[in-house]
Amino acid sequence: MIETWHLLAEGFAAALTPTNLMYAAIGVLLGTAVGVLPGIGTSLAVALLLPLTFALEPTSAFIMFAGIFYGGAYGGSTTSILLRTPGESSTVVTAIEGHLMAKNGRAPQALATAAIGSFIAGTIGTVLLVALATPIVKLAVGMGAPEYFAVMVMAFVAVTAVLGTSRVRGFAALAIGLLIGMIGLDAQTGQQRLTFGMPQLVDGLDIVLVAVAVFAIGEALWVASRIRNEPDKPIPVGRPWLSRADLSRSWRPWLRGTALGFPFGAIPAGGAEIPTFLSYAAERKLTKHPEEFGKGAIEGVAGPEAANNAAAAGSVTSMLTLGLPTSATTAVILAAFTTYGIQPGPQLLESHSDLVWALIASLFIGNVLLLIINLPLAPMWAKLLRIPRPYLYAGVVFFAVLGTYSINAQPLDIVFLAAIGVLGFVMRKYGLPVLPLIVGVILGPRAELQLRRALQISDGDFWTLLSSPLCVTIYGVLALVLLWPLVRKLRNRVAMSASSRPGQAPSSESRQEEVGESTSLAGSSRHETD
Amino acid sequence: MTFARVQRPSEFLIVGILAALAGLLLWDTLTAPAQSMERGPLGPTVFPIVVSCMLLVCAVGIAVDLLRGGHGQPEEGTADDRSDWATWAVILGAVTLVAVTIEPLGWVLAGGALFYLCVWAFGSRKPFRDLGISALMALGSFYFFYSVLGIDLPAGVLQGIL
Repeated sequence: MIETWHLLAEGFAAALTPTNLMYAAIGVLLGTAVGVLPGIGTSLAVALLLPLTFALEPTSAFIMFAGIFYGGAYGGSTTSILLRTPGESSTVVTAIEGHLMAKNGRAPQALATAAIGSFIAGTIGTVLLVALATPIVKLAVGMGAPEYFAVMVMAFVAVTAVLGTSRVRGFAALAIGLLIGMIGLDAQTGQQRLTFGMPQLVDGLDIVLVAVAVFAIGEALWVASRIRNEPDKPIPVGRPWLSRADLSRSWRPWLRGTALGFPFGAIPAGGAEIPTFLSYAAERKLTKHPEEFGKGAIEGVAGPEAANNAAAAGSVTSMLTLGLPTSATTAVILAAFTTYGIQPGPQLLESHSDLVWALIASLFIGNVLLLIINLPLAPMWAKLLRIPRPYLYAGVVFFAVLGTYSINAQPLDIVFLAAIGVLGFVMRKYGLPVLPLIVGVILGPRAELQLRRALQISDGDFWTLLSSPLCVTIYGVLALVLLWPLVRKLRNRVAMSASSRPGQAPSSESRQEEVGESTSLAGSSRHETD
Repeated sequence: MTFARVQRPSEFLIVGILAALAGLLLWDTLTAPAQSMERGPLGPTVFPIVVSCMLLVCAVGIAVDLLRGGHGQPEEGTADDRSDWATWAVILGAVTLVAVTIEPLGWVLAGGALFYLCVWAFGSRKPFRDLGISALMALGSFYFFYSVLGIDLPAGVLQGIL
């Protein structure tokens, strides 16, 4: 352990020179500038700016790279919050409460809680990376297909049944998402599904396209359809800093998000999306201000942002120790390593330990610089919202189309963008939640893959899905969550029939509960017949 | 079961969409050519069938909920708000127009037209300023993507001038 810290100190010594600090600052600024473009997320920002680092010697390249990495991540969150155009699946959740906060004039607070949360999660995550690399690798190797499938089912249920007012509408949105996720080649047999003979659909729809369509185009169409109902008033920008109340509401979500994000980032097939979904679900359940969710709750930004960044640190762990990129961004880092002739994997810590520790030190430095540079800029970014409504939404549509086209340079993608945008509009209009749809698109294909893999390994024995304590625990909790309203309703019925006896007044509380549950119950009991 | 008054008949659109998607998925799955490569206990058709059943069950569930007087809560405002379909159609049309024109005319013209149409639809009536800003956005994004990001957006008819 002591040796680890000694190596880390050497890494800092290598990374902390004035020239390198300058490269890190340039990296942060460039990363933020590119990441802030709507539809461009961390991985794309890093990939686009990667060539800039090739001219430098490895240590400087890595430190600039770390700056781009954090800057791109923060820039992506900024556009999610301000314009609701997430550039990457892991900031989709931020777009929900973050953008609602922005609409209420609390954009600077949303940006600040995202920045500080990312900083804290990134720092803790990098410390964990230093301390826990070995045990995490052992845990990851022990998880198999049944466990991954259980975790994904948990994510489905968490965002669908636990959130929102109507379960049946949540499951409907999830099913639409699963359908969209199915478009393209079946990963195992190469069978084409829902491609209708179009070669452009064989690779499926890009998740960024779907997210931008549902969020940005759906939002623009929604605003357009309501243009007579809401006078054009510029969105208030409000006071620039986090208040004491904001801070006290943010720090627990920051830490919980970090705790969720790091392990998921570190396991292969984990990724950053699941912890952001789970963090959002958790914060929504744990908040003391449930009435603010759906109107812009700061917890709904603080938690998922921290989870996202902690997952990024976690995915760097498995990339360095196993050579497995678990996120798009680490895949790009992997590419960067190989251009320097470095092969990540179990031997990396021994063969190139100086570079690894310089990279880890760079991650710390990039994180600090990001906070120093971007926290004062948060009020400035928020002023983007002062732009009059016609220009703001024209800009949203413009960048949504541009971002979509730049993914594949395929004009047909813009037609898909419009079609799914209409779907997003209809869902907004009739109260279908959009988050389950996004979760379905992202996790559906992976869940199917893990399920089929599990059953192939077990040769068709369904009990394999319950073969480990982790799986049994997850399914047990889910059954409880899904059945709980049913149990409560039955209990209330018993209580009501008991109270209808003379001399006992019906308790108004249980009545109210039953009214509240009746819609959601309809959804859950129906789902179990699937 | 008591049938309360349906609050918004148009909400049955959701039921229709879900049922149509279920039918589409089922049709696509059942008419797919048989797979010779199929391996393992679950083939590529099981998951689509499960999802189409889920869509159907949700469609029925929402229909029942609507007939009982339930309704989905719109994101903002109330269900009675009037919709402005003209504005809506211009935005959608402008996006679709880009799909058709981006390759023949190039991003600068297609994107500029998109921005201008959107600004106009969202209620700005200052043609000169708006045209200027549209041109600036289109040219600016073109050159930013070209020089900083190294992505060549289609130049179209302006090939050679830009």
